[in-house]
Amino acid sequence: MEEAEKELERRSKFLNSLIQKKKKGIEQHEHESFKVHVRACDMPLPLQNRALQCARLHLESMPPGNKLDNKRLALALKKEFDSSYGPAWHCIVGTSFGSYVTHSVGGFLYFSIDKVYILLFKTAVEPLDH
Amino acid sequence: MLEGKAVIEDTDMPDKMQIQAMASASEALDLYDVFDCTSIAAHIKKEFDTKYGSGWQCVVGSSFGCFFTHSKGTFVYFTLETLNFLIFKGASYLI
Repeated sequence: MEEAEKELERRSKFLNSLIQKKKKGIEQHEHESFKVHVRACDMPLPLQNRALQCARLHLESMPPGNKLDNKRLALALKKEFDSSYGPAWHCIVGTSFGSYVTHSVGGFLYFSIDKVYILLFKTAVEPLDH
Repeated sequence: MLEGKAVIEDTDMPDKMQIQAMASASEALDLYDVFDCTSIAAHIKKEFDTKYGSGWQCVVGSSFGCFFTHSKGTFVYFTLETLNFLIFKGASYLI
């Protein structure tokens, strides 16, 4: 009878550890699967994917529960696109804003990821009027 | 609508242009609801394109951060009522 109790206890602990592992797995999966929704676009697909990936990586690199730093994400995206696709890119990140912009052809993307909205667009670099 | 006091947070714009920015914002808030950020931004941007040449950008909202490159002397960020306003002209360079 004692042996039976020990066996039950061992199995119970094993099941508990399985449950804990599964919970961690679920949490990790949920954290990784940010929902992305492209809302407006005038941009070649490779650039779109680049922006989405950059934003996703940035969000994933933050510890869970930390509040998003809008400015840091905007900076990361702008810098990546300025260096990869030439100046001048602009990026707005937030949960509540509207905008009206003039952008270069093929240089506009407005998407949401998780609860954040991101606007990324390019303007032509022109000589100043003298 | 009640006349609110605009507060300049940051700018490198000439004073006269700043005044125009705040006037355009007040005008837009008379025309549109404070929740219609896109229409407010559109009104201001179009006003600036008309008065100061094309290529202006405008962002309006209560919660956003951003990074951008602007022409010298064309940037203003201010608050009015419950909203924040960002106006700038896209980057240019001297030859």
